[in-house]
This record gives sequence, structure tokens and C-alpha cells, in this order.
Amino acid sequence: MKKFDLIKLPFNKENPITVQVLGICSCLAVTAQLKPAVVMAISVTVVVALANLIISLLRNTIPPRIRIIVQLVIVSTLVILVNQVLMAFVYDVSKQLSVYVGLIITNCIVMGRLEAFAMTNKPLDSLLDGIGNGLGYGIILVILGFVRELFGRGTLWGYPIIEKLGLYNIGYENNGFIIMAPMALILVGIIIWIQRSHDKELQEK
Amino acid sequence: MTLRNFFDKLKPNFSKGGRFEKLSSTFEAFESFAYTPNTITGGEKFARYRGCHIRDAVDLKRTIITVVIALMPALLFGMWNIGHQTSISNGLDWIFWHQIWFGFLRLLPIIAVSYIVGLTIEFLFAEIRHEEVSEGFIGTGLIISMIVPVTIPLWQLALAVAFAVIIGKEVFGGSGYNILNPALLARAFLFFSYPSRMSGENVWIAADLWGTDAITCATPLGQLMSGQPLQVSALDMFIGTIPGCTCETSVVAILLGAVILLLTGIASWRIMLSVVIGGGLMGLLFNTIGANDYMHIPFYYHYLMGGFAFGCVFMATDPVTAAHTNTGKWIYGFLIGVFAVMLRVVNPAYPEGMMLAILLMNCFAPLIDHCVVAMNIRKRKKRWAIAERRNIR
Amino acid sequence: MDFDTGRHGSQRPLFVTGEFEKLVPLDIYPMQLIKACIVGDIEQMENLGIYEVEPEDLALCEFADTSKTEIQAIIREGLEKARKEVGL
Repeated sequence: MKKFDLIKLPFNKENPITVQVLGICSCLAVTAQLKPAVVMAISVTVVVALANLIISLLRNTIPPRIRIIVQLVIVSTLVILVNQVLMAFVYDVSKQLSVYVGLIITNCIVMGRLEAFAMTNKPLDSLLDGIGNGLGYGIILVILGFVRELFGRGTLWGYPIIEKLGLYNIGYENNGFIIMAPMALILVGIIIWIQRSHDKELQEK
Repeated sequence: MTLRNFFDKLKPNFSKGGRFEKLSSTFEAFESFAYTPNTITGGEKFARYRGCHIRDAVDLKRTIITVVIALMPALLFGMWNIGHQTSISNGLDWIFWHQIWFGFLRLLPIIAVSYIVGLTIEFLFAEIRHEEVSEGFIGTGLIISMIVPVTIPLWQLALAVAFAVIIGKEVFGGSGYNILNPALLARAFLFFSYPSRMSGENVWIAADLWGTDAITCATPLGQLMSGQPLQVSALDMFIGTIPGCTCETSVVAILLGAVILLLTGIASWRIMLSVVIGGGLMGLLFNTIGANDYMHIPFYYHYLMGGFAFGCVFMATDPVTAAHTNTGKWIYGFLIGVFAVMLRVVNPAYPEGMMLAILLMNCFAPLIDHCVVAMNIRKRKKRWAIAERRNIR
Repeated sequence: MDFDTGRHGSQRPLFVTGEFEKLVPLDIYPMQLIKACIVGDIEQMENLGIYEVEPEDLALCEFADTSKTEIQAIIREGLEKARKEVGL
């Protein structure tokens, strides 16, 4: 498998959220605004990439019976590190994300890629695969965060764009439904729908 | 030139190989709206029709148009009521015809937007799928425009209709394949997206002819929920001269529609009856418990207030989303009545319990059907077992 | 002579419920049976009673069907499929 494919495939054909359907819960919860969504995407990418790298380096020395525990220890360490970094540099976003940074440990993408890829492949491949999956997760988060913040609050990254365009004066109102989690799931469904209509390979027969 | 000649002349352009082949579904929709399709069964050329040659005259278009006719009493009353409420609350003294004219003018944009947006989306999807346009939306479009407040901004209505048609129907494959009632999806979308416009407690009376200015006034449901004594009598609520969403206030007009639907056999009497029984029983139960103010509402008031009657007759009986088996319909209707009254009384945040109760039971209807059919299957397997034992002996 | 009759409408998905049960005296659920035959789910067809029915039993349903489906042809194809599966 070519190296670039490892990064390209998770964007579209093997996207962790829309095709593999992993990591849905965190994607619904943090995408109410764009900034936490981007921060979360970067955090998950870092965790998945580094966890993949480390596990892949250790893959021949982990006894099979305790491999889940070893994976958990490594992932937890990385998540704690990421949490501390977030609290130090972007404290307001880290307050918004609150529990969900800690829940990256339980994010199915992380464990899924560790089991499926890192345990059986070389370190460089695993690193690229981790980056690819993290970015695939990230692109969906960014799309969702963009739509939900723009139509739900009228701002983008905190900048009150709808107000500046003067749309409130002609009677536009913010959509309260799109901030709720069910609408986020419907939006993910619409993305899956569009993706599958374009790509015949993804349709089951 | 007659209409038939007009269609015949245009037809080659829209068939295979014609200039506008891409719009064939749209043309077929308009042609079959005006004339019954002249497809035939039987005959040597159509020997592939291996079944009955003679078919009943009723088809889906006629069914849906009968539903629209059944909605007419409520629609006409709603038109008058809109004008009536505005004239009362503004202190004007309008005559009967002025009130109807005002209501008609206010209602016309809502109906127009609902139909245009919904039908455009339906036509688009039918073209993309190379199918004929399904008639389900003719009824849904009218129902949606009857359950929104008069002063709803038209762009919000358009969004809600688009949401209901795309996510409620087209994702699943079109009319006949949906699990949720599209009219209620539109209303639920509006309820959650723009709650200040759609709150169930207050209702908006049109302040003037154009624009979305409104005077708020509490509906009977809202008055009860906030603990004030009722200012309208039961007779007022039965006839429907109370403020409310556009056309769902008058129980008399809805009953007329129910009679039409029952006589033509389109709506299931089982569902209507069991909704009424379920709501009444739950109301009685709450009357006996009597723990707080809301529970003291006499049980028959629940039939008259809010969207209970309209939901019971027109939305719970939607054949696609209700339970399909007869036994299932009893259970489905009963649970709708129970949940509607329960949601109203126990949860003061959602006085509009009927909408949510019907949507909830729509999700459960396939499960109810599955259980009823499973019992039938079990009976059948017992019959097989008995027959096998007899054969072996 | 070549007789034909009008169909009075185009074919639609099964929409109206409760009209078939009134016309079939057997202890089956016709609508669910027809849907199982269209899909080709043999186990479900057998469970719902395809062996108790002949296409002609549902002829009245086909006459009255609002959605103008070809019920008798569907049942016949379902029976053929079940017969092939059993191996007769």
C-alpha cells in the first residue's frame, strides 16, 4: 500500500465517521461551535498518531493477553498530556470541552486503529495511518462545527458574522434545533447520504 | 384547443428521445393530475398482466383528494377564525365576510409556500430516480399549512417543509416508505428550531394583513398550564372560536372531516376510537389522582384543547406511519391517547403533547406490527406441528 | 377479439392499510405476505403462510388495491421461488 494512500483513504473512502462509523458520540457533542471542534480534531489526531507510533514500535514485545491494558495505558498517558497542553494554552476551549478530552480514551477510532493497524504494521505506516484517520475525523468535525455554529448561533469562530451582515434586522433568527445533538446526527446522516450517492463502491448491494 | 389535445401535442417532447426527456416525470405528474392515466390491463399486447384485468376505480390520487376534501371544513373555519381573532383583539368590528377574506389572504401565502417548496423537492427527487411523482404530498402540504401559527415567517415554513420532505420522506425512498409523519416532522422542526415563534402556550394572532407582527394571547392550554382559570367555555372550544394555530381549533369542523373519512373508509375507525379511549382513560386516571392543578382538568376537556382532535383524526390515521395490522392499530391508537394526555399533564414544558406522542408511536408502530405478526406466525407453526404429528401417526 | 380495460391509475408503493384484511377470509396478513414475496425473503414468506395461499385467493385484493400492484403475479413468483428452494 502506497504511503500516500494511508493518509488519503481515511478522508473519503474509509472515513472513520461516515464509513467506519466510529467516534460518533464525541463528534456530536463537541461540534456545537467551530473552535472546540477544531481543537478536538487536532487533539484526536495527535493521540491517534502518537499512540499508533508507540504501539507499533512495541508491537513485537507486548504479550497478547495483556495487549488491551498496555494500549489503554499508553493512550491514557497521551490523553493526559494533551489535556495538560490544552489547559495551558487554550484554557477557555478546554473548559468548554471539559469531559470530552478525557473521553478520547474511549473514542473508538483510537482503539480501533490500534487493534486493526498498529499491532501488525511498521511504525512509519502506523504513524501515517493515525494521521490520516485523525484528519478524516477532523474534516467531518470541521464541517459539522461550521454548519452548526453558523446557523445555530450566527457566529463563526466567535466572530458574529450574521450580525455584521445585518441579517437579524430583516427577520432572520437562529435555529435552535441545529445546536441539539439529534440534528447533528441528522447532519452526519446527510453527509453519509451525499458521500454514498457519489461513490458507487460504498453502496452495499 | 381542448386540454386533452394540449397534452397530446406536448407528449412526444417529454417522452423518451424527446427534447425535454429529463422532465418526463414532471409532465406525467401534471397530465395525470388532469386526466386518469390511460394505461390498460389485459389484451393480447399486455398478456404479461397475469392478474385481474378489471381494476377498481379508486387509486391513490382519488384517496388523497378525498382527504383534502375532508380537510375543507376545518380549512374554511380556520380562515374565518383567523379574521375573527384579529378583529376581536384589535377591537375592530368586522363583518363575517371581511373576516373570511382576511383569513384567506393570510392563509394563502402559507399554503402556497408549503405546496411550492414541497412539490419542487418531490418533483426533483422523482426526476433523479426516474419514477413518477407520488401524490402523498398533496395531503401533507395542506395539513402542514393548517398546523402552523398564522404569523410564521415564510422562510421558516419553507425550511420546515424542506426538512420534512427530504428527511421525513425522500431519504427513506418516497411516499409509502416513511416511518415518521412528515406533517408532524415539519411542526416538530419549527417547535425546536424557533421556539419563540411556536411556543405552545402562547399563540400569535395576526396583527395586520402583512408581516409577522403579532399579538400574543394564551391558548386555553396555555392558560391552564400557567394556572389561570379558563376564560373560554367548553362550547367555545368545541366550536373553535378560540385562538390557536391556523386551522386546528374547531372540533366541529374536524368531526365533519372525520365523518367524511370514515364513510369513505380511508381512515381507520379503530385508530380514532382507540385514541379517544386512551386519552379519556388517562384523563380520568389523572382526575382521580388529582395531585396538582393540571390533573384537575376534566378528561373531556383534553379532546377539545390544543391539537388533540386534529391529530387524532388526520395525523394518527396516516396509513403509512401507523400500525398496519388491525390489532396493532388498537394498541397504537390507545398508546397515542395515553401519551398525549400524559405529556400534557405531567410535563408543563410541552403543552403540545399530541404531536410528540404521535411521533413517538410512529417509531414504535413497526415494533407493534412485528409482535402482532409474530403471534400469527406462532399460531401457524403450532398448526404445522399438529399436522406433522397427525401425519407421522 | 382483443379486450382490454383501464387500470384507473399508476402503480404506487403499498400505501393504504386495512383494505386487504377485509377481503381475504384466511388467517393471514396479506400485506406483509405480499411485501415478503416482493423482497424474496423465503423464510418470512413461509412463516406468513405462502403455502396456504394460491394467487387466485388474493384476486379480490388485486381488484380493490389502491396502489395497483400486480398481486397475483407477485404471489405466483413467490411460490415458484419457495418451490425451487425446497427443491421440488
